Amino acid sequence: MQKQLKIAGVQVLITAVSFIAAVVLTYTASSIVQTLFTLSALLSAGANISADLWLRTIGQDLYGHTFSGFIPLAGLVCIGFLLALPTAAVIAKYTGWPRYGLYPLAGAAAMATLHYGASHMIYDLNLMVGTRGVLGLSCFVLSGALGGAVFIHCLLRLSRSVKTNVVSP
Amino acid sequence: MKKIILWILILFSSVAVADESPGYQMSTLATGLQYPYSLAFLPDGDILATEKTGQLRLIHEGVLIETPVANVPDVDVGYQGGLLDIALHPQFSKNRQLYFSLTQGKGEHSSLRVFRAQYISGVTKSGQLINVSEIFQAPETPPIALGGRLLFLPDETLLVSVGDGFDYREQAQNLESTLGKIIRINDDGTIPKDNPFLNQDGVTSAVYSYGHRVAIGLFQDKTTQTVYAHENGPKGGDELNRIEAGKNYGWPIASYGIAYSGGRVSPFSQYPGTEQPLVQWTPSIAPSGLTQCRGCQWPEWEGDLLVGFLAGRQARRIILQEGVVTDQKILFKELGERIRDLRFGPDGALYMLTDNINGRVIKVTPLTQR
Repeated sequence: MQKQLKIAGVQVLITAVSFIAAVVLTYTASSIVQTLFTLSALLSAGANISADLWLRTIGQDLYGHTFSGFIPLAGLVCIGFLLALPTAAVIAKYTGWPRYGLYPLAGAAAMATLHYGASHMIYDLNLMVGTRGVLGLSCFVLSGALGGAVFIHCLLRLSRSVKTNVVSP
Repeated sequence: MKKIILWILILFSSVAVADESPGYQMSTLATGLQYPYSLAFLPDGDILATEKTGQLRLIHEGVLIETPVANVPDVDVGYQGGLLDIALHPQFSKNRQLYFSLTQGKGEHSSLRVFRAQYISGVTKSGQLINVSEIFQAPETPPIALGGRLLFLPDETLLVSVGDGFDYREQAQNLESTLGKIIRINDDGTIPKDNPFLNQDGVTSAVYSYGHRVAIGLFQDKTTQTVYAHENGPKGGDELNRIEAGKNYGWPIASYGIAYSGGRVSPFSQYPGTEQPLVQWTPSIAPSGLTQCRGCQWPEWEGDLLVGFLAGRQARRIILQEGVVTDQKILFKELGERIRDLRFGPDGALYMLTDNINGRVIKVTPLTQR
């Protein structure tokens, strides 16, 4: 009984670690995507941006996208994943569809929904500048798919390793 | 050294803000205006006021006439779109011509347009427009960040502020587009022969200055001929600028604001080849309406600019010394209302428009005057 409780506790921890890894990765990737596309648009408008400014702006935006704007991106990614990933788990359980396909799809859907919501906050405007174009939006959505993939990969790998350790003498 | 002193003054100007002791009294001249946007003083003492919802209203002997002015073109009202600014032709007494800006087109296909018409009074209670014709159309955008302020220069050319259309901000640096520009046209919509980018390849000849986000304050000092404009930044970075022909005001390459998402608009607040603002307001207080005291009823305000604010729910007296902003005084904060426009009337009193469904025209006079 105690052993089972221990396994359950470890499983919760593994899920939490996998979830945090997925959110952090998706937030970081989506923030960088926005910065890259925003700065690329400035380049096309005639600005000259040095490499260190690119890096500095990426760093500033990683902070700003969560703490300075109307859209607290990290929090929204977290909420999105809290809805999307359990939904993927339920679908996987009842359909038997491959989890390595479902979870990335769920992550992508979370980011697409986030983009849709943000772009309908005020009229139909893109409050997230980096997602104005198809390519930027695709990369933004892909960052969610990446997060979903990382989540399921971490979850399965860590669970397997824990099971092996628990079963082994 | 001179540059350092100038920068210290600019820095000082952005922080030195104090409440003005109320040397004024306010009275409501008219009420019941739906989101009034702009005013024009007619030579006979009447006032024309635009309502964003599409009506042009007459205030006759201090009374708002119920029936709107007839024959105003259809307006597509939505978000920031609607019937916007109004300006009288400098020869209005002779030709009865007035100009107004408005938006037409739904959703993504909204565009800022400028119309010319003749105002005929007396036919109906409020008068009517005849010979209405469109003289300028900006590219289609969503109805936000539109601009639309009008300013006649002494040579009878017309400046029009055109916003960047929000999603198209890089267009403010593209001289082929009129988005994010102040344009200059003749009173019939043709291009003046002395425009700064006339007949240059890949440039729209109407462009007067560029790199603007959305200027909704435009004014010329009648004494020095200096043109001033202010513009709304995104999240921070509202600016007051001295406008000169052919100059680049930086947006979006240089901005003191950040994007609504919290990311940087640009890594630069200053950029070579772009003009710095006289003053910038961060966080944003959304300037709207701009005027200047020249012979107004407050002699101590002579030469100062007055700016209305929407989000800031106040006005500010911007004190200029040799072209540099040295101080700002907060005015009318006790109103607690969004100020859409303010103008000095021919009598030297200040007239303000409050921005709401039951908007008012407020007349402000010095406290001593009865």
